[in-house]
Amino acid sequence: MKTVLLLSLLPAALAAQSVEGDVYDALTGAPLAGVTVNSGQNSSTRTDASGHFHLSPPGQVYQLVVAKAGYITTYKQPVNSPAVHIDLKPEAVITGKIVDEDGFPAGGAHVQAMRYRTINGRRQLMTGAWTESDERGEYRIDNLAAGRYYLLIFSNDAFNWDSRFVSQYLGGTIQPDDKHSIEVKMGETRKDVDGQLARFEGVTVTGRVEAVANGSRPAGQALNLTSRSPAAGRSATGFLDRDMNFTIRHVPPGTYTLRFGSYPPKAGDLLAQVPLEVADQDVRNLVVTPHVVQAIDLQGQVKLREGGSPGGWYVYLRPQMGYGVSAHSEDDGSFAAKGLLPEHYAVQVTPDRSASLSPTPSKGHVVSITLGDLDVSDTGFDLDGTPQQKPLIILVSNRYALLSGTAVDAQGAPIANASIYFQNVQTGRPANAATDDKGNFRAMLDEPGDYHVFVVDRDVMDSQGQDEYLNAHLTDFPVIHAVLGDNPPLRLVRSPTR
Amino acid sequence: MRLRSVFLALLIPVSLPGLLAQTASAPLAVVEGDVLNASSNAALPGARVKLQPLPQNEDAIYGKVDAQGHFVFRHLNPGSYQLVIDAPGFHESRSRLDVTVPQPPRRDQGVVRAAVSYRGSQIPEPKVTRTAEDDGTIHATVTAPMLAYSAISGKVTDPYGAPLAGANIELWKTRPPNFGMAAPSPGTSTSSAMRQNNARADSRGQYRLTRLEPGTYWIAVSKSSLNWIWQTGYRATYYPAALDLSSAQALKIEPGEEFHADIQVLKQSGVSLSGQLLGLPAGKMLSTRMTLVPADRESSEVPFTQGQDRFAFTDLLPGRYTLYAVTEDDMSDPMNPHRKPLFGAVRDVEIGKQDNAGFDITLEPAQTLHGKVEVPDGCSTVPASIQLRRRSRLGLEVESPIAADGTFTIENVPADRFAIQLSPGLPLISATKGARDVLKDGLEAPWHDDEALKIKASCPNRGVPR
Repeated sequence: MKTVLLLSLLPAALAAQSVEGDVYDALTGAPLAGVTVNSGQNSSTRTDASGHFHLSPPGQVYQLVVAKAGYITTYKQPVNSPAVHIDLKPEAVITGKIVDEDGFPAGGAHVQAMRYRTINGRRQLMTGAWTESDERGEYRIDNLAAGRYYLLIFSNDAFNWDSRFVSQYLGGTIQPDDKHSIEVKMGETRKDVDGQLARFEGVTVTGRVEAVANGSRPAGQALNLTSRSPAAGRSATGFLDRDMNFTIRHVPPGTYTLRFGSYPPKAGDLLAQVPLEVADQDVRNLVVTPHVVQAIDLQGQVKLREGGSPGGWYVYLRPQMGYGVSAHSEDDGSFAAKGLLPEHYAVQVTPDRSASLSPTPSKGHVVSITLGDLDVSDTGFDLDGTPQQKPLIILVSNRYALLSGTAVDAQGAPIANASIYFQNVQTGRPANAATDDKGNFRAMLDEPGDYHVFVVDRDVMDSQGQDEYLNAHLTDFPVIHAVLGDNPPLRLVRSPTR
Repeated sequence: MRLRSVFLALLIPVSLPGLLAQTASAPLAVVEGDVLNASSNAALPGARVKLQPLPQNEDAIYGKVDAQGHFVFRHLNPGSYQLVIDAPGFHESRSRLDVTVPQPPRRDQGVVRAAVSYRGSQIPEPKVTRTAEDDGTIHATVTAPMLAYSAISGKVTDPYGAPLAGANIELWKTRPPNFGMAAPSPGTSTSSAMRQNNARADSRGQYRLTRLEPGTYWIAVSKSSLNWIWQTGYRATYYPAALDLSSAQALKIEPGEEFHADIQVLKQSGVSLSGQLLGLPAGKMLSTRMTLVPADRESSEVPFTQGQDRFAFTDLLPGRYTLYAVTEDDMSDPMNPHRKPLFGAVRDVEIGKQDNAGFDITLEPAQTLHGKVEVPDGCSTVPASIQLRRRSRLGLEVESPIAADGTFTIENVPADRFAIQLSPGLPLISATKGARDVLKDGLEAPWHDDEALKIKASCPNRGVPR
């Protein structure tokens, strides 16, 4: 998904007609033979014994995908330079065996390597990579970047044997635990990271589903308790008996949504969603009242910060599963997203650059997306099926803070083909640019404000190693202040020690 | 008859609530049994046993077997249970156990019902004997033979000998007699009924297919769309190095066997087809997606490419294909079903043994289709919508409502070949567009006439009208 977005957003100037380069092992610096270099257009080649490749695909090259087994796949945008230098990082691997409290192998265990990442200024525990253990309980998570990981484990086999084997972190805790986190270095294989699943008694949640307006009695249907904490694992399940009662056992403490009804929802289905806080006491005699799912329409408005017509924009509302709903705004910015179901929707907004549905092409970027008083641009929003009174307001702008400058080393020599990375001090939102072979760069920042600046050469900062890199280099350069429109040129002098 | 009445006389007092309290310490039911290795009939120590009361609104009861493979559960309530036996290295045994009054009451052989039973499964079911003791206790004795599972594991390498990370390994199993399916070919959906399982190679190229029952298997490395980075330059390969099932090696797997199978995928030595994309408006960054559908065979390898002003297919095998191209509006999300087709083309193409670098394609605008559906008067079923099913599979089906007078208008019909379908599905008598018999030859866009699509449907409850 991310690569496709990059492809379409990249300006044509970054594309190259044919490209050649050299691939090295980032750890040893040795040239790498047999690396697959793919331009994404059915055009690929392999590096020779000296790590060299040459690719002349029929179309333009916007992005190279550089991959070799045992290394982390790297995406590289070729710039107009004689040869591209690519460092491939050897993968880190975590491997071991998971057993349950009885010492029996925990087969079919979903083992997720979670790590903290800062997304738009918020530190969150997110999935880095995952694998499934085999029937002997043995697992191997490969393709990991260097970093500190927390292993979240849920074994189907163990849970089916005893539902007290709930989703848990390595070390047998419900919450991530620093003591059992694993720090791996680039290229390191950490063996014998063994785990033993603990039984959690939890509490019992009971209740009944009220008779439904349309008279149907959906006995046998499942009810799911889904945790609302992203760092927690799997949900617990109970079934309706003939009298519409349910019992869900062994629920660990946490914040949940109790959900009755099929997923994803369809119009005409029965659905109930109840927020539920579970502590160390049983929850008894809940009454769940389902309603019939209705599709609703959501009105919205694209507003141009600078005033005037925003032009046409695509608004795409994506549920967690299945197809989303798209709308195209009119010239006055109004739009209607039709047929929305009780779901969590993420919002994606793109300008209609080629004017395929609008009279004039639009351009610009999104400043904020609000529903009522809530900024939903990062979080998305939940619909519960009741008609939505508040419109979705999308504020866009076609003005940027324009930055240009030169990156040089301590001797004044230009730093060519490096990434210049900007991070908003207040919001954490990133922007980036690349230097040409004279070390010059131009950047368009969506928002004015104070920015940390980073000069990143080669490919040392991939998406997974980002946080560690940025924290280590936060003070390489003074914070800059960018205003809308043109800014005075920057001269970034990188000190030798860094 | 006499026995039964005696038994009932004994049982009735036990079920009275007042007496239940007095006899609370008395055992009501006992389940005991032996767990065996089905291959040797030797006792299987190291197994664990679960009794889950049914329906599942109570906690399960857990136990372990002793060194002789024996287990006992006492003080049980009579009723139905799920009996689950778990031993590492063996298929899990899962069955329903009725711990109830046997009929006739004294002796009752083999009344366990397997909860999970599917066609051709060789996992043995436990045997049970139930007796009622003179004190009313129900006694169930289980003999549970356990079947050791088998596994196939190995390493997948590319044509150069390097590990093929992320490769998809498919496991195919012998068809039962008279199953009546076409020979399996990896990746195709038509024969997926016999695809048992699949595994993904790790970054060392290693895979493991496990919990197999004994039987005859084939394995194949397919070209999954998920690992597109790696999948250029090789072909779907059957173990040990075959392109089709007839020359693949059948693996006869015994219980408990661990079979080692390394696979080196075969190199693709195809030709390329490339050219320019013409006819697109200047100044718009439009991307065109293209696919080559083999004309004469069902294939799991349907080449796909995309481009802006040029395109290229590589690694093609000789044969007849149909090339489909579609240019959509510039929404950047390929998951979005509402992308609008703007331009497109359909070409039949013969791939020979030489590269073809001058296959230029002029794309034509998407068109509007007008038409009318005629249904016999008084028909109780009236079609609500018309569907054009795309041969290219380059996007969602084209669908449009039909007005009350039978007319319809479909905008933005992409270049493609279509099969026509009404919903609800009425049988079609005829479908024509100008001189073209659409029912026989299908509908092809773009068309170069202004004719409407005329469809006659029959009434399902009245038959074909005269």
